[in-house]
Amino acid sequence: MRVRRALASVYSVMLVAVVWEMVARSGMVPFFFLPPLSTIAITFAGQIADGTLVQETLLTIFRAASGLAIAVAAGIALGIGMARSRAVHWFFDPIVAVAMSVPSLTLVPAFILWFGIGHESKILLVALSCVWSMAVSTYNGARNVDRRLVWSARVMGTPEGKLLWKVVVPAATPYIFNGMQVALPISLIVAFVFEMVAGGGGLGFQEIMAARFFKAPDLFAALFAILLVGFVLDRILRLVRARVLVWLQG
Amino acid sequence: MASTATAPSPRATAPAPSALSPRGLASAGSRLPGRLLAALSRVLPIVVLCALWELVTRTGLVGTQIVPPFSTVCAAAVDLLRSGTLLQHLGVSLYRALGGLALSIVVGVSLGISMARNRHVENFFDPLVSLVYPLPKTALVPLTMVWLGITDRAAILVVFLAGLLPIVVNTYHGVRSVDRVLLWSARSLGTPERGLFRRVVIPASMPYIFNGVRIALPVSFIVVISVELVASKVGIGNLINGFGGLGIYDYMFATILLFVAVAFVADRCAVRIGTGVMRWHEERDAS
Repeated sequence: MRVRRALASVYSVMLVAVVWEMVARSGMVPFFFLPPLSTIAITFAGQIADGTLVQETLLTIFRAASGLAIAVAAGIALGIGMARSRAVHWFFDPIVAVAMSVPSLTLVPAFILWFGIGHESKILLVALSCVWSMAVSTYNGARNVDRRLVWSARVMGTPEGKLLWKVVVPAATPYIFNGMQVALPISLIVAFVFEMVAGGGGLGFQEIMAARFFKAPDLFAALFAILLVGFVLDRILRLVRARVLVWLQG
Repeated sequence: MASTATAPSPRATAPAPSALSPRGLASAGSRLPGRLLAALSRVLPIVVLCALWELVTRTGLVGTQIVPPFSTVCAAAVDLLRSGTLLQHLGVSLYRALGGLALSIVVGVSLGISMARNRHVENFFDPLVSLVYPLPKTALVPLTMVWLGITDRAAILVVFLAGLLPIVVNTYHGVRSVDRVLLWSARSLGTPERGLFRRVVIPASMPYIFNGVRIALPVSFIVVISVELVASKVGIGNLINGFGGLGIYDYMFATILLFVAVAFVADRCAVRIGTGVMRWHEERDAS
């Protein structure tokens, strides 16, 4: 019964895989359009085994994660500042509103000019792209803190300075995690595209090079690695969230 | 979720909106000077930022080679607008973004509704959707480049694929979460099954569908820009990259600024249309 249900839940994926393999093998489409899934799997396994794909993956994750870390720190600071201070809110609210809707990838050539084509430019653009959604979610979290919590803390003698770390920030954590869940895919998108445009290794670079030289199996291997990275990082974030927010269930 | 920065929610748990927010001032005195003052107060930080930009570059704190002064960039922007170069490229980019988005709305809404209404459709597509969902869609750019070459169709295909999933997922949840009481009342008042769908299910899931579109709109802009940076001979992304490559930085920044303005206006328009269409929903929410 359980096996049947599990099969029923993935049969469409298997069907797509089989059709893919058959169409590719039949010669109806050129090899460089759609290589057989088995060929891609062999290429993928080979590149994992010789370490190239692992290395490029780690490089991309390093860039995306560093940028995201900067964005989380700066975004939390900005969001809390906006929630606590009227002047900060007045100054940054219009700026955040505009910046949120900016397609940050337009800045790739500018960041190449300012910071070169190494790690710095990629990490900083990832940070700039993610910081706004972090700021907005932190702001919403800090604004929506249950006032009774703040009152009780005050009544029990928590000094104003500690109130922030002991009450406001923890109470805003669910919102902060929401912001991170929005920011994570953005960080990957920016990192991949920047690598495609500016080079310097990484999965995006790997993929665009494969496309330029019509190495279809390599292209799909990189694509699957990107899919895997997106999936695994999202899962990790969910796990951490469940760990940190245990108290939320109660 | 993006609009939250500008409009604090009027829920009871939230503190009273600050006097500086437009809503606060508007309710304090809805006379024209009050509103004008509020608008000015909102624009002022951005003006300050631009002035700072001008000051920092004019005093030589930052080299004009690295950041051209704001006034120079503005002059370049005027020139770009006047010569028609920008409009031509902007037209291409918007055609790709909005064309792809329109396709993903049509397909995404139909697919989302079918998945919510039909078990077999859901069983088939649900695993595929959750498999592809975490893929950063710009990773498909090189693939479509191989498939369709450096064409409009390639760009539209990526935009379509990128916008599709948020719309499918939101439509699905919208149809699924239609209040049963609404369905029961409509039935007991004699609405036939087919009319039920058109007159109850679709309107009730509209806020969700719209939310999906709101998410897909900026995604479509991002995707178009990345396609044009990587594989295109025309379009805004290509224009920016071209100016950057040639070292014509004032025009590069002018193009960036103008496109940012377009993206901002597009987002505001989407919000306006959304609140206009869903006025009844907002009222129900507030009561």
